[in-house]
Amino acid sequence: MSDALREYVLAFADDELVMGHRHSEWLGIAPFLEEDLAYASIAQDELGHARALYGLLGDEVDVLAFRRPPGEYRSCRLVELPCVEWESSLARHFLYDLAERVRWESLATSSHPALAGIAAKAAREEEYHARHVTAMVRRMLTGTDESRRRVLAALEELAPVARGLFEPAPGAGSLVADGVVGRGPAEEESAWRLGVSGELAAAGAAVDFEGPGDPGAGRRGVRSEHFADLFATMTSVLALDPEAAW
Amino acid sequence: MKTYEVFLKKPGKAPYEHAGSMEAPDDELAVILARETYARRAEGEHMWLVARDDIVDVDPGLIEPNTDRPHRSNDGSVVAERRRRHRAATGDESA
Repeated sequence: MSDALREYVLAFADDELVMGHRHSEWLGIAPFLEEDLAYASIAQDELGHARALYGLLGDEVDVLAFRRPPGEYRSCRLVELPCVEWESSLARHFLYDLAERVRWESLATSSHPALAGIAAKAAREEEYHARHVTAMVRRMLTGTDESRRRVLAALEELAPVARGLFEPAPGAGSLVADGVVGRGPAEEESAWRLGVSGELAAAGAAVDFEGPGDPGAGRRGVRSEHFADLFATMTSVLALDPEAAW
Repeated sequence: MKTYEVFLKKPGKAPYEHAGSMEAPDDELAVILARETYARRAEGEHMWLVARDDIVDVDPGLIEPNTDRPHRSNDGSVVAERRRRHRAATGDESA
């Protein structure tokens, strides 16, 4: 496997792993039972995607997921944020899953058969994730003044951070040239912005994607200030029993 | 939030059966959330969601049985006997 493909797969898999973990933090405390179940299920799907992608890189999926030094993870800032307020988590779920759908679409016709296979399965689950979150965000935007204000504020804050999802991994250009990925990160980001703006426009809302910071630094191994806590929790079972099997 | 009653139907001639209830903000989200709440493990092939407010709730007094009128309790034996005699007399096995 080329270094470029390895970097690409790691970036996607690490986003999925960390996103899945963050979603799972709502288990038992989501605003209502039915949403709790949906969130837990979506978290499981994302972890499943991470496992499938890590599987392309080797048999030691647990080692890849839990035993790398922080600097070797490639997750972007968006997924590492705690998002402890519900509207914040929902806004991230919205921005993330519309982006994830775009990313899987880019792999639908991949020249790498295993990657295309994973994409086909994931795309089906992703339809549900996107449907769930767009309906929920629309409901929040058309609900009360407070629900609209809160979800819009969260989207405003997170949209610039979410651009980091499209930070190119090293060698991204060669993957497009080889037909492994259907389109490059810039083209994916345009498609994503169009999708996000379209959904928001339907509820008479808009969001500004531009903002300060370097949201894609995670692709270059720079971890956010939230990663240490996140990583400690994520690997707590392993810390208790390094030989644990699951 | 609205309360919905959930009905599931297994394949074949199985009838829709009440599976439970759930809450959702509107019909669209009810459909989406019902999948994860009631149909994650192939519990049914078809699903109905009925807003509880749309159910006509019948006063229990109206459907209370008349315990002083035992002749209204029918275990089917009289009709079964009549059908047996009819079949014997006519040879009509469909009766």
